[in-house]
Amino acid sequence: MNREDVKNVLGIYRPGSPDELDPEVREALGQARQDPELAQWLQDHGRRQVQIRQQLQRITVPAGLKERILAEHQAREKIIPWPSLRYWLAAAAVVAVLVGLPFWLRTNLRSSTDFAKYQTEMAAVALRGYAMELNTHDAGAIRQYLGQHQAPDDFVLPGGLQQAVVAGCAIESWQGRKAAMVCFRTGQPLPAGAESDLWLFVIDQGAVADAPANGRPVVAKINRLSVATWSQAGKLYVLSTTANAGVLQKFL
Amino acid sequence: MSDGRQFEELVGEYYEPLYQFAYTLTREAAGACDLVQQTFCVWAAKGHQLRDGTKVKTWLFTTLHREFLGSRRRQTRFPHMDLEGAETELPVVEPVATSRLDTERLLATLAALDEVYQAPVALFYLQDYSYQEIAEILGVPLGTVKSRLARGLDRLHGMLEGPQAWNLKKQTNPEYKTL
Repeated sequence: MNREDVKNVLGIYRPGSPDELDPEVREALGQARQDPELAQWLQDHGRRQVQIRQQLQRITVPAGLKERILAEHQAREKIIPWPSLRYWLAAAAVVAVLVGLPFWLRTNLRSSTDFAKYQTEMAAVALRGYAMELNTHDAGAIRQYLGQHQAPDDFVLPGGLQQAVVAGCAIESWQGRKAAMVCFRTGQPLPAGAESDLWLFVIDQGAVADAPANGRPVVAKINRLSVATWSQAGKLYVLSTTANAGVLQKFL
Repeated sequence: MSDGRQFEELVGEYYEPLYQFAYTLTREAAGACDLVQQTFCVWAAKGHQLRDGTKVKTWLFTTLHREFLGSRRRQTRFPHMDLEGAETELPVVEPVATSRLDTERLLATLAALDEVYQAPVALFYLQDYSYQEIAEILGVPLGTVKSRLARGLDRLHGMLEGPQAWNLKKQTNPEYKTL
C-alpha cells in the first residue's frame, strides 16, 4: 500500500473499536506506525474521529421519552392484554378443538360402526324373542300396517322371499328411526312356540351411516343366525334366519 | 421475568442510543421521538419473532432506519436535490477547528451530506458497530458500507474544515463535483 492507500483504508478507522479486526485496517495500521508522516496523520485523524464521536454522543434525549414509550406500551397491553391477539386466537382454537373433539370422536366412531351395530341389534331382536304386532299371512295387510305406523312399507322383496309364507310383522326402533320387521317361515320345522324362522328388517338406507351401497346381498354369520344384507332403492335390508346359509340363499 | 418487565429493561437499555441515531437522521426532536416510539411499538408486536437474542440491538436499529426511510417516502416535502445546486440552502459552517465544534453544527454538516452517507456515518460515530453490523442494519453489502463510509467521512471532514478547504477538495477531486 502506498501512503494514499493507507489513508483511504484508515479513513474509516476508529481508534479502540472493532475496526482493528479488519485485516485491511490491521495491515494499514502496521504500515502507518512505521512511517513517521503517516503516524502523525493517523494521530490527527484519530483525534478528530474521537472529537466528532464525542460531539454526536452529546445529543441529549428529551425528558420523559422513556416514560412515554412505556406508557404507550401499557396502553396497548390493556387493549390486548396477554400477550397479543394472536395468542388469544390460538388459545380459542385449542379450546374449540378440546370441546369439539369428544363430539367428533363420538360421531365418527359411531358412524364407523353403525352398520355392524345395526346388524347385531336386529339379529338380537330375532334371537331373544319378539312380539309380533300383527299376525297375518296377508302381505298387503302387513304393508298397510307398517305404513300406518310410519315404518317402511315400500320395500321390494327378492324373488325367493316372495314365495315364502309371511307370518306377521313388528316395528323396531333404531336410533330414533323405525325399522320394519317382517316375519316369514322357511318351511322347515319351527322350534316349539316359534311363529317364524325367517325375518326381514327394512330401514331407510340413510338411517345407517355406513350402510352398504346398492349391490348384491352379502351373507354373513352373526351369532347363531345366517344373515344376508343388501341395499336397494334407498332401503337397507337385513334378512336373517336360524337356518344355515344354504337355506337363506333360496330366499334371495 | 414478565413481558412487561423485559420490555421496560429493553427500553431502558436502548432508547438513548436509538434516539441519538434518530436525531442524526431527522435533526428534530419530535421526529426522533416518534421514530423511537414507533421502533419499540414494532418490537412489541414482532420482537418475539427474533430468535437470536444477541441481535436485539441490531434489530432495533434496523427497524428504526426502516421506519425512517418509510416516513421519508411518505413525505414529499424533502425533495432530493444535488448539493451543487443547493449550496445557498446549506447551513453556514464556520471554519472552526473540530475541537471547537458544537453538536448542532456537526449535525447540520452531517445533514448536508448526501442521504446515502448520513446513516452509515451516524452509526459509525454513535455506536461501536463493526462495518459488518452497519451493513446488516442498513441492508447493504459490506463493501458498499465501507465505500459509503470512506466517502461520507471524507466529505464530512472536508466540509468541517471550511468552505475554502472544501472547494479546493472539490476542484482537485472530480468525484466531488457531483456532490
